[in-house]
Amino acid sequence: MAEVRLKNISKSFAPNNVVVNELNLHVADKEFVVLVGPSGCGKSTTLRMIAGLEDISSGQLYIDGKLVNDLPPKDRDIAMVFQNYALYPHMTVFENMAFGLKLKKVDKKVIKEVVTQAAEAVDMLEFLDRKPKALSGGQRQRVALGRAIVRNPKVFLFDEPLSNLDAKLRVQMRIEIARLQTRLGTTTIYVTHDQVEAMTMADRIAVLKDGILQQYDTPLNTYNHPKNQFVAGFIGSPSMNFMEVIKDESNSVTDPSGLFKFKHSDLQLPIPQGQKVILGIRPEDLYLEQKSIASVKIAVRVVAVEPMGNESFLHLQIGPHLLTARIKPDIPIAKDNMIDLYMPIHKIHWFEYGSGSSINTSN
Amino acid sequence: MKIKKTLYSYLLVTPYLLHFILFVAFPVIFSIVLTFHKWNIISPMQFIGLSNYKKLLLDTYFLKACYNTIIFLLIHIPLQLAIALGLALVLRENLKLRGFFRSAFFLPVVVSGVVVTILWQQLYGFESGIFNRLLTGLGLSRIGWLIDPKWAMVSIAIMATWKNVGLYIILFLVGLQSVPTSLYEAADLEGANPWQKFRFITLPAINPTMFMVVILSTISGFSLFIEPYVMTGGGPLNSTLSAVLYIYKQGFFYYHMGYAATLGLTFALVILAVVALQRKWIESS
Ligand SMILES: Nc1ncnc2c1ncn2[C@@H]1O[C@H](COP(=O)(O)OP(=O)(O)OP(=O)(O)O)[C@@H](O)[C@H]1O
Ligand SMILES: [Mg+2]
Repeated sequence: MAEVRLKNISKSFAPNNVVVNELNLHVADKEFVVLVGPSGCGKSTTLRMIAGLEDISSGQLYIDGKLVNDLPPKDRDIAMVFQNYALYPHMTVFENMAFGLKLKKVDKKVIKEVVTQAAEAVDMLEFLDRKPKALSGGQRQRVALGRAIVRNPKVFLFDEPLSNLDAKLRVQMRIEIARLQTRLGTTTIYVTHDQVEAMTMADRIAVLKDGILQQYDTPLNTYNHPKNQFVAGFIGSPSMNFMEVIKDESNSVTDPSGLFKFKHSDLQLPIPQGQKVILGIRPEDLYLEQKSIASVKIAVRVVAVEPMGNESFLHLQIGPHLLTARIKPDIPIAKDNMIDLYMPIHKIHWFEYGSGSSINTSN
Repeated sequence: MKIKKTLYSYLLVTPYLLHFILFVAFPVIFSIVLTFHKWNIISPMQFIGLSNYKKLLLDTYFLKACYNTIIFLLIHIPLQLAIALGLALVLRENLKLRGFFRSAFFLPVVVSGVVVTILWQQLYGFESGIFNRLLTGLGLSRIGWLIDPKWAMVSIAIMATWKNVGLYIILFLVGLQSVPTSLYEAADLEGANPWQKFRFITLPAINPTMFMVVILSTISGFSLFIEPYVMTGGGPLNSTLSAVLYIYKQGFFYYHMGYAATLGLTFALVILAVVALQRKWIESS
């Protein structure tokens, strides 16, 4: 099918207001890439530039090896699924799916065949005569999906297609879209701000912040080896805990106000003594008992307990630091108690104070 | 307490009630009574039974006036629809001075009809009117805008369209605003050209607005009066004699009050029937 390559793509709507900044992204053939980032970071703008709905301010965009900067949307051979579905309200499901082919003057018989196939793929065969108004949100999204696959494009673009659906339907559609994409093998770029969607669907995740690419990697790598504090905090729910500490003598860090001190022979930080550093630890890496691995201990107060059924979240406090821990549901812990927590040293992420870049430790 | 409250409520609706009785109920009832009488305002009313209605059935002038009014509607409504929609489509785009143009097109709506009519009378002038000067400038021959029976009603329809188009532009703009841009973008991706986007997205979306514009301009078109009254007095050769103008003339020119009332009542029923038909047609489609 096709690969998509963004080379130094920038976009500004007004001078001195850069929305997408020197973006480099290579989406391989058949790959499913998810663009994530907080609201306003330029995800939709990026997608719309790929679609041709927005001009590219600078940089080159290649689809299937061909420079398409100046190609109108219709000649880029892409299909886009919009957040609000963008179904033609006065057309039936069949007409909606057939519209693109009809414009291309495809033979009626062929249209019927292709649309029927697509409707089958998205499980909408029995609704072909309905108007969008008479469909549920999930069904509308299916029609939008069907309309995209009917045209058998080189690239699928999705802009938060599931954000108008309820939680359960979202999970279901997530699986269906992923399965469909695998089956069709169409190169896909999918925008979401939901990091669960990103983790579960993507071959690779591109994390954006303020129009700048933060990390482009597999879901597990972005989770386990975030390149900076932003990615570490954005990927994962509940998000990673951060504490600002000071590098002390060798093998130790302390809290600036002396609340705690971590010292261990495995704790080796390649930064000078006295320098501030950010310590990051995921909620599931805070343990209630010491495991056999190298750990440090911290005494915290329980502020709140949130039972989820399958697990519980503990909200904890030590001095100015608020932490979240994720524990088994059946451990009885009451609010306002002091407890000891253990952090495995090799699970700690270190980030430069200020820049937020990840610090490579030898372990 | 309760009585007091009731009294108070009546007191509150009294102004409206007075207005209604004085300006709606009484004229309607009085004019129905009038249709069975002969009355020239000065001498007392004289009962004449159904004579007015008999006269109406044979009145070729009234027929002509109705015919003229329909001709006016047939020119005015499509013109209004096309121009209002066209301008609304243009004004929807992000043009410079969009706000200025939007107000400019609306201005004639709020200007007095008499003023507009007098202004256009100048524009339509045969010798020195700007339209004819443009035509002669282009090497074409003059048109007798208001003095040629073939053109007079057309001229009036053009002017009426100019006067009211601002209102309908606004209605269309509101209708157009309700079309999500993502529909056009989806169509762009599927390769629709501007005409196809208009045909398959815009037009169906503003269908309700179109119906509304048709109904509104039908009703306002039926009451065509000021324009021919001021510009042509119904001429030349009665070619711009509208139904309402004819009724006015019967009443306040010839003082045939009874007959004018009969014409008015009949014409009101005709309008009612036409609008009812239109509504039925709209509801069915
Ligand atoms: N047409 C436009 N004109 C001016 N600024 C725009 C335009 N479209 C988007 N922006 C700005 O560009 C920035 C990025 O917008 P974009 O829609 O790409 O964000 P996003 O990442 O998709 O956010 P969200 O998750 O809320 O959809 C925002 O600050 C937005 O205000
Ligand atoms: Mg967006």
